[in-house]
Amino acid sequence: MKRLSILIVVLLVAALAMSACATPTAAPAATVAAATTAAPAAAGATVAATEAAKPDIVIGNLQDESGGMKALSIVLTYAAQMKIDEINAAGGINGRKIKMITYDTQSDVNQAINAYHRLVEQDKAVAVFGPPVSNIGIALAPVAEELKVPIVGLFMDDNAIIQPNGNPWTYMFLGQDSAAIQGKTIAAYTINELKAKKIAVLYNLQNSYSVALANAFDSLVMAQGGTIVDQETYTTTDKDFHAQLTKMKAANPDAIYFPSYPVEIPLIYEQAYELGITIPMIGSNSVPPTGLAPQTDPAATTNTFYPYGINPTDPQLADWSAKYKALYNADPIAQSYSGADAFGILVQAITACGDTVTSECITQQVSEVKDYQGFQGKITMSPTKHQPDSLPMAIMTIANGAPKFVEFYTPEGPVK
Amino acid sequence: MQSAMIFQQVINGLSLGAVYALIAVGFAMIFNVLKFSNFAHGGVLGISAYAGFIAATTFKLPLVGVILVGILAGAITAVIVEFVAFRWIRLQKGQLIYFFVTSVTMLMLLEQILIISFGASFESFPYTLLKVKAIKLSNLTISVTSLLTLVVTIIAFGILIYVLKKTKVGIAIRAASNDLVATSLMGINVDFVVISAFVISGMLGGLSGVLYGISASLSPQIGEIVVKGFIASVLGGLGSLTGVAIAAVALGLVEVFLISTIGSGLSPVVIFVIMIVFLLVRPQGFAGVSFADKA
Repeated sequence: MKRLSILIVVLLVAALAMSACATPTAAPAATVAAATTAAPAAAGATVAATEAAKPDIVIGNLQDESGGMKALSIVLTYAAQMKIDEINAAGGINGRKIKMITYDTQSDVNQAINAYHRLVEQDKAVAVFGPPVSNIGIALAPVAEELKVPIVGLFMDDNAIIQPNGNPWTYMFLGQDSAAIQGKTIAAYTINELKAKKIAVLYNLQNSYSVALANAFDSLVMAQGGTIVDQETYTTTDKDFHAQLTKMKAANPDAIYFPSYPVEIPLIYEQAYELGITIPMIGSNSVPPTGLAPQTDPAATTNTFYPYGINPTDPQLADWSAKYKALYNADPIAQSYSGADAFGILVQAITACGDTVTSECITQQVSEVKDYQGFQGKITMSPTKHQPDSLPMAIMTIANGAPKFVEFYTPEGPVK
Repeated sequence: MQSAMIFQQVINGLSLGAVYALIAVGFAMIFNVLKFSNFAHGGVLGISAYAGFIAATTFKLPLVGVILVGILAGAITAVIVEFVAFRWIRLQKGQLIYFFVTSVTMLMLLEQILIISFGASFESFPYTLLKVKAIKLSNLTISVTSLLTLVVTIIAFGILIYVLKKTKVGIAIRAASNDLVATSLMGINVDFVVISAFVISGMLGGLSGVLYGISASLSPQIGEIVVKGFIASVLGGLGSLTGVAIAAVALGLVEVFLISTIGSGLSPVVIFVIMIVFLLVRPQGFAGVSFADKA
């Protein structure tokens, strides 16, 4: 019996040990990206010695590098790294190199909170680059209020940046349009351009991104005289949507809106296609690249529309896109550009702080960003909403499995 | 339109129930012989699903090949699990709780192996695996994935029933399910019987893993679907494979009905309440211990 007990204990310990290895907690998953490029041209010995003595500026980076949101999250790390390499190659900011410390959150809220604590308390990060995951943004907001280190990210739910009392969370900033704007933009396009009046909505009730988009979409549809003929929900672990889609199809809608995460999008496309649903499928900005993944039948995505941060065919993006592809062997996606903008805002704020790079100064400077020329357009941070003043969104469709730009749109209508 | 929707939901429920039935019968097979709930079956299912995925993506095998690879992987994994985790406990005549704890541990272990090997993200089988996606019959659309699941499940059960009733191995498994000790006293090689039960259970797990992976998607946590097999086993009565299979199909139908009426959020709550009520009112499941074809 004693040997038996030992066997069981060994098995348990083995499982736990494997768990620890495979589920990278913040500490072992940390990767540091510092001066990866060559030092600037030689300067005077005294100046070089003085500048070498200046400490690095530490920026934390919380992204999903191995979980369900990896496809949309890791591109933010890529975009930030490109900017860091560029800055460090040019001698840094006021002679100080940027050092980015990345922790893998696996889209897990608890891991993200632990990693944020570690970044602030152990790594002494002065600012944090946040993920495109609303649940994490919402969870970090009150923690940031306590630790007072700003987080600039792509968490779209307004609850991640606005407190229940209507004031912004002091240290939370969004680098793209919020869910409220995105939901209304695609709703306006659906009503005005697709002439859909009866719409069915399918959303994840456990995901704040999905809920926020669905709420914004519904409100604009109803404000413009449209009808939500059916509203179905699912949970994060669901893989079978046949029951919901069958009911939605029976409601005879003109279009289906499904603001979902990458893990769910291909399944919803495929299962709707299997059920013979041919009406427009309206997605969110998470559609690419998973909606186009090699595993998804192009025939299932022939009649779909979704909002996107940029127009991928814009010639002004070509140079940056080429550099990105050369470095990472993949085309950039919307989150790459939005991520580059969010990180650019952070860098601009750090630069504006001069020799006093503190979290308080960066927070102040980010809230005052004005006319930052980003890929999404000119970005002016609203000091009362901690997000860009509404940016137009590109409406995209998919033709033969490839994304295709349609037009720029806002909740008020097409951009002239 | 309303009747078409109801009929469509019945088809959805049946195809979901068919997957649950495969999982539940594989799960109950081990319970019958060794009298414990084998949650490691979920891990076997997960490993097999990924084996099928590799067969489809790396080796570009057609659907039949992918299914066969899944079945083979399931059988091999189940035998390894038996040898590594359960044999020692059985030989030491360990208490049932040891089997249970070890089975949960093995589920975690196999999940972590998948995470280490494939990452925590999700994967999908290539869409080209099925040439035709749906068959249209009047107002009804039948998903080929669902149809495939139903047909394969029926064939698998046909083979299982034949093996259990007409072959020496099957008869030995049925005898062992009644009394393992008495079976060994009658000169039957118990090790062989147990291994055979694990092979059959693993084959069913492999089949369900591949089919579920094709209709849904793959993630290292795919094996946690074994909970549905456990629920069906409890509802059906763990002693009866037929009862378990019927309960699994019923579970699929009830789940689809609940999702389309009260929503996906409340559906699991109601199902667990039903399970608790069953345990209180009829702990032997609706098939009961006297069900005719107790395996």
